[in-house]
Amino acid sequence: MAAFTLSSLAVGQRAVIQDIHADDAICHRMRAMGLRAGREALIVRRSRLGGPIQVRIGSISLIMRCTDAAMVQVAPSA
Amino acid sequence: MKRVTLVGMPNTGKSTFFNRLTGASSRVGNWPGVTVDLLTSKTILGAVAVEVVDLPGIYDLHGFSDDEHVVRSFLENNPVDVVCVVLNATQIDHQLGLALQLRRADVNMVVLLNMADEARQLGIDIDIDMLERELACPITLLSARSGLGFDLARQMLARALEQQAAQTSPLLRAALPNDDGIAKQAEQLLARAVNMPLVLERRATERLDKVLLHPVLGLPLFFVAMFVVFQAIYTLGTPLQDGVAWLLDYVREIALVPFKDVLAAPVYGLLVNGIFDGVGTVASFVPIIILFFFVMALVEDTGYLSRAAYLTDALMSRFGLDGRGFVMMLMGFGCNVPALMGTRVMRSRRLRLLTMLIIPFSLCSARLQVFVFLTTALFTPKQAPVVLFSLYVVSFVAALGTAVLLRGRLHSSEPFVLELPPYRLPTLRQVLLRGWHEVHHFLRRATKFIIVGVVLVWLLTHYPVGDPPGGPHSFAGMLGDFLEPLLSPIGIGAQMAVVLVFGFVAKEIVIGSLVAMTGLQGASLMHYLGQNMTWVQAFSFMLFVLLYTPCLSTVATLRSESRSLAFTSFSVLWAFGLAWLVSLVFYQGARLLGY
Repeated sequence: MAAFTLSSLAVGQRAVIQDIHADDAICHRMRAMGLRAGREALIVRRSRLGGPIQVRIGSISLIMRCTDAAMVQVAPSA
Repeated sequence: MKRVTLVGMPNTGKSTFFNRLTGASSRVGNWPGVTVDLLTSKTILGAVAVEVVDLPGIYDLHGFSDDEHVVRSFLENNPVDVVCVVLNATQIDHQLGLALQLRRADVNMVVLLNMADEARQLGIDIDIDMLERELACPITLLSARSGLGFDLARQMLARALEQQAAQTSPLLRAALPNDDGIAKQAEQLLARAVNMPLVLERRATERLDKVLLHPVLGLPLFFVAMFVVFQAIYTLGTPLQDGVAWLLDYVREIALVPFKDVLAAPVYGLLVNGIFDGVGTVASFVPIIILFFFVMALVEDTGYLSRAAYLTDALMSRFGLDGRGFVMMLMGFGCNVPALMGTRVMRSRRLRLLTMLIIPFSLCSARLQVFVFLTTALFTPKQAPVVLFSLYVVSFVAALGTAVLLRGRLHSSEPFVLELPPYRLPTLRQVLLRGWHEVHHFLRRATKFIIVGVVLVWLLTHYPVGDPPGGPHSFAGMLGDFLEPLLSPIGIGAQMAVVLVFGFVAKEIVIGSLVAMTGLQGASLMHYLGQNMTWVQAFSFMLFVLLYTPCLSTVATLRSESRSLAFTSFSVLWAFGLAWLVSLVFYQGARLLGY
């Protein structure tokens, strides 16, 4: 199955975080904010013109730029 | 004295608890990481005097961000009796890891599960006894906003203080096990001690977001909100500023003018025209800063600032900025000073510095006064609005152009990931405390700098011959002559050059200095200007006034907020350079075209 990223998901789609492809510092920061492998992420909304996306993970809501979301590799939820 | 530190993630209500515990005016924001300086306050817990230190909000003790370094090095280098960990109970699934990390560091700790009332409403059930056993420390539920459970939390801290001597935690980072281990442990503990509903119902927040973050309506609503905020600040602020001015005048008449004949003229001049008027300049900012931060506290504490960042980020990311920078830039159109102070919400230093470089280009209300006067003097009523509008355009272009030119040097490597907190109603107490705290901060840090600057300009314009102030035989007049070769290519004569020297203190005194130098007022001054300047010269002058250093208060704020003299100097020089270049291109261009 082809790997895909958090940024490629449509609104309302869920996926499980697999890995973050970024340098240590960025990886660490994202993990600390709740983007951890094994957690399920839901795309709540996307803004227009390539703006940020809103992602829900467990009890928190995050906004992130698509370029950052593109570093997060996900797999379909079971 | 014993020492307690507060540690927790951003957005946990840590600062609210700090306020409640110490009664001090700390800043509180419904926004990740607003606490910048280490706020410290003294209080009595049990029977002992305690120093309470509020550390910056961090996500992780192990990380690499500036704040994480601050917290680690604080704990490594300062003896601490009790580490008070504040966790947001509504997000306990994300936050337990931080407590586990501190447990591994073997500190004497107390855990407060804040926002307990909200957690209960959301159906989150936490087994406190089991958590206490597993974390081997006292834990209690708390609502720092409402004060529920606060007395218990105090008692718990007092008991923990009796336990052992203060300790530092050397080599904190090395002592921590790898993150995966902590994450696994946190998950196991959560599974046993916490019962969380699968879907958290935040219906009110979701409903509001549907409207406020709407793909089409969101942005217009944001601009409406900004407009209302702006109007509110300035409709309330202007009368307050007038009130302060009236009060100062009154004090001057009652307490200072009677000494005019008693004191030697230079002493009186220095005291009244120098220092007292300098203090007056500072004081005139106070109402605007208070109001600005009342409103900012509202916008932040409700959680809307993160939404504004979401809405404007698509545009701002192209300029190397983020959405919060845009909000601050808009605020700068009222007054640059509080807008610069407001950039503290940005956690990345580079991003913050870049934003602080562009804010001084925002056409503030003081500059607007100058422009309205000059456009009325030199342009027809039909032309005037177009001229004013073009100045606003130049303001935006200068700000965004600066960002584009310098974003490479101040590139932020931090990912743009922000928490979107649920909407909350701010409490009046927090909003008031915040306004007071900011004013205190501004006065403490800027007053000396501003008074020195004002006195300097007073000396320049009054010596060796100060009649009229800033006349050709004063130092300022000589400076004007000296600068002539530099300013004549942009169409500014010696007299207007002196006005620029005055304008360095504050744009509010530009017109006043013209009055003092020419002895003319109102319509006759306008007539005089119309006679002595062409419209090309006037527009060139306005471009210069728009772009060069806004005022001493802005410079003082740049310095105190950046804590870097080099950065402040760069900002001032950059603004001067850009002002000169833009005026030169305009003036020479217009002359080439035959105007």
